[in-house]
Amino acid sequence: MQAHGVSLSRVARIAAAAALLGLGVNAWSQAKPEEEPFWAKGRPKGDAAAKMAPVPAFPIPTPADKLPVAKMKLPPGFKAEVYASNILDARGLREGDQGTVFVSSLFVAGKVYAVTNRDGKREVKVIAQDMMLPNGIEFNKGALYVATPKEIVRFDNIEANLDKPPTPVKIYDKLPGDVPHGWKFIKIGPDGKLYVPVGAPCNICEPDDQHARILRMNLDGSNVETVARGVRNSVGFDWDPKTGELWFTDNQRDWLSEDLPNDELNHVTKVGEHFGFPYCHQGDLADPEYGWGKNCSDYTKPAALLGPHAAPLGMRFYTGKMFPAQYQGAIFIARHGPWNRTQKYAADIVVAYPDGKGGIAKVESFMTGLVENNQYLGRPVDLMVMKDGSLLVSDDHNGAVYRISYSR
Amino acid sequence: MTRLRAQALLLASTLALTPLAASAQAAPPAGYAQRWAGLCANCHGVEGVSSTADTPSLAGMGSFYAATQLFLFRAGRRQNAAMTVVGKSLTDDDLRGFSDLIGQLPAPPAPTGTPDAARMAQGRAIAQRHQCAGCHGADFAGGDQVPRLAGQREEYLKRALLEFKSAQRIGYTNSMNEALSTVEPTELETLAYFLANVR
Repeated sequence: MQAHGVSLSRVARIAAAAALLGLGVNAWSQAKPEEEPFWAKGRPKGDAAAKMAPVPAFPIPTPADKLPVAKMKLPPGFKAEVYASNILDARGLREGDQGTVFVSSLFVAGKVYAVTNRDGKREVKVIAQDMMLPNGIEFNKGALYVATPKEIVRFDNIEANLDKPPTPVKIYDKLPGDVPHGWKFIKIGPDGKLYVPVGAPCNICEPDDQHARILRMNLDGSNVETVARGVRNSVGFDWDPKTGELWFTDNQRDWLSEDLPNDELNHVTKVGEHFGFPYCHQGDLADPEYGWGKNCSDYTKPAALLGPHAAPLGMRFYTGKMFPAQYQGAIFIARHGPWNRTQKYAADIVVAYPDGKGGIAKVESFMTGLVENNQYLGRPVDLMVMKDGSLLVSDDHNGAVYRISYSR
Repeated sequence: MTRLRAQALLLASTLALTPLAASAQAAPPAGYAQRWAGLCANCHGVEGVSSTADTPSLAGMGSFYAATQLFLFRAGRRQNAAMTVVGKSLTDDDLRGFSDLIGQLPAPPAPTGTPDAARMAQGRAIAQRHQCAGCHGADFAGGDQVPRLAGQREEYLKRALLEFKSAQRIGYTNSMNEALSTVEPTELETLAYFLANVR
């Protein structure tokens, strides 16, 4: 089914037609013609850098028997298994009230999937297709929310209608709609509001007041307000179950160097505070272009550094009962692994332990083993604590979802 | 050229791979050399160097690009009368098999003859102005999901450029449509000439 009246190709046609007519109106990108592609701005000269570019998910899912579960290294007692395979471009994860696992995707698939689980028998259904970068999903009171760069829609009573999803209800369509960093991660907070990031439409630029921030709104799309500013591209956040405060991962700029700046784990303590982009990165590094005349002490510093270009995406506080006590209240973070670095690393799950004073005591590896010969065997995107306390992990590189469980 | 000779050539090309490339990319699954010879070689050339009008050479294309295009044909997101029919018949294993095979074709021979120096200079300037090398590489050899342009058939390049410019053809996103939005139609011909002859 067509999820909402505008298909991927139609949007592109309109955008291209507008560009052809010289209208200068392009809903997809802020990039001016004749500029290099947005991700290439700031790229240094030289062969090594010239060979680096973002790589999309491979267009064919890896068969279940070839998925790299045996390569995954976990602490003692933990086990990884395939939860579901053949999910092209698997990205965001949410669990429905009746145990359906919803999986979003980006531009390779343009689909939203539902994985049903009846008596251990899992089936993957497509519930929406031809959507433009439908990366943001959230489940609430029987409804599935789906966010594209431009709009947010809601499929009511979805779990009862997986084979014939209802026509979605549009709740908000005034997002900027850029492709660069326009894809969403959305989640409903303890305040009952829907949180929606709007990334910077560039690698590095001075953003306008529509971009580089995290917004929140009522579930009907009303009362939009800015929660955090100076956020380059957040594709994961969650609330501390103890304090109700928002924490988010943020991907920092490319091309500055192989080892700088670090990506960030941030902690929001007051509404509207500024996290530094584009002036200050990783809390202590003024941008070589936009940092002049700025002072890093004017911006909120990250709670933890997560590695240069590591691409931390989905994150969740662990609230389940299955894992050992040390993980209670700790933050599991999926790192997608860098494209903007000669030596690949990460593509793993790390755990950040809050220190109880608003910061992070330490960050430890949890799941590793997916980088071999400087290539990725898999790339974790989102993770989710299931009702039984196990951890689901999506992998867009292989088009699969894994389950990590613990037993003594 | 006989089917037998085609297989021999493909076998030779597989053996000629360096150990590094061979370890990075598995050999195409058995049977695809034969299917290539029967299904693809007539139009795209036995060694992937096309002598058919409007049909691209595939020699020197990466397997990621090949898999992506086959996927787009199969999904109806890229249109071509012949390839839409072929695409619909392909399984996931076929996409991997054919694209692995394409990724292992030897690079195409360097263009022969002496191109018009003035047109080449104009074409190079257009390519520079529109940042083509930013994705396609300084040598226009492509990489990963990005196609090789150097040595491609000129009329195919011209048609592909026109299809992107008019948004008849769209990739995953509209990045190529946007990249070409300010290139004049007359410049597309010069650009195609340059890319077909660049070495």
